[in-house]
Amino acid sequence: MRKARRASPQTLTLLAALLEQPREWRHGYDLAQTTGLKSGTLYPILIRLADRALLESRWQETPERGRPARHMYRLTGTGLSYAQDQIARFGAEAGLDDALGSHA
Amino acid sequence: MSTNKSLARRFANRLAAHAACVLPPHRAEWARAMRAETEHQTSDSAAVRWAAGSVVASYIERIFLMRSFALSAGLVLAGLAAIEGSHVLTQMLFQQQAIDLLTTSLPASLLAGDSGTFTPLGILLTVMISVPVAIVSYALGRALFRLSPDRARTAIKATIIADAIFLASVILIGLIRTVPGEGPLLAAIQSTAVLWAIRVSFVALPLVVLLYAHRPEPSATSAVSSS
Repeated sequence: MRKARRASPQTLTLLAALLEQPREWRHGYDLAQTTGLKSGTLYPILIRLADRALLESRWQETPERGRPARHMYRLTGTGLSYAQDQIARFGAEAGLDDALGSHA
Repeated sequence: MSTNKSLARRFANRLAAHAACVLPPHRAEWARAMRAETEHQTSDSAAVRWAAGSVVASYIERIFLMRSFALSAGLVLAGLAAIEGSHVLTQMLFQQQAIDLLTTSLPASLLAGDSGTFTPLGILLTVMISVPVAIVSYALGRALFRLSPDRARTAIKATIIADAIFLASVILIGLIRTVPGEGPLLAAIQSTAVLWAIRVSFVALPLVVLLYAHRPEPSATSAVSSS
């Protein structure tokens, strides 16, 4: 089985954040606050993950009155495996020790 | 809720709208996502920051799309130019008047004079061959990118490496050729078979890489947005 290439440190950070609540839908600002990534960095990573079917998205079901629905994200099954693999292999190097071994 | 928006908030919304315009059409959902998230920022300054980041992301996406398509065509053109350039280079370095047919590009060899240099008609014929090849390669590159962006990037990187190896080998051969006291090994390097192998591999390798990249990827769970 071909090993996946190492993700960038920013991607690893995002994957770790998504792994914290793997079945929860999270919007962009929430992920930005958790990871410390700015929107200019966050969106390209989200787009790439979605292109590779590692991330799924949906629109908020009950938006706040007067505001548009937010775009929500979470890992797919494949994305979950990918994230766990990446964190396990490269998480320590990226300083993500807290995420190691805690997302079975 | 007050409908009066501050200047900063209106500026943020304009930035987000600009990001939406810059994004390619197939990213329409992401454009909408950026604008929606900007609206949800609690403070005006946060909204401006988020929208500014969205603009950066949109340009990254647009440039990536343009560069991938242009790069594939550019690589083909550069490769063809390198083939013809290497022909001139070997002519100059070896200072030979008559080059074996197998070591030259077919158009130039057919139309070159005794001096072994290019004729205008030879150059024209080379361009007439290169342009359709470039167009076809561009279309292939674009189709490949839509099929699999990751493999498109891999193919492009492999082509760049192949180009670099080829050019380095030509330069190296030329440098070796000019070193005094050449032995049998250097004579073998100068052989037409070696030069021909380098040229064939240069053309064939990118095509093989592209064909390889068209192989279907292992099946993966499709991402279906749940409603």
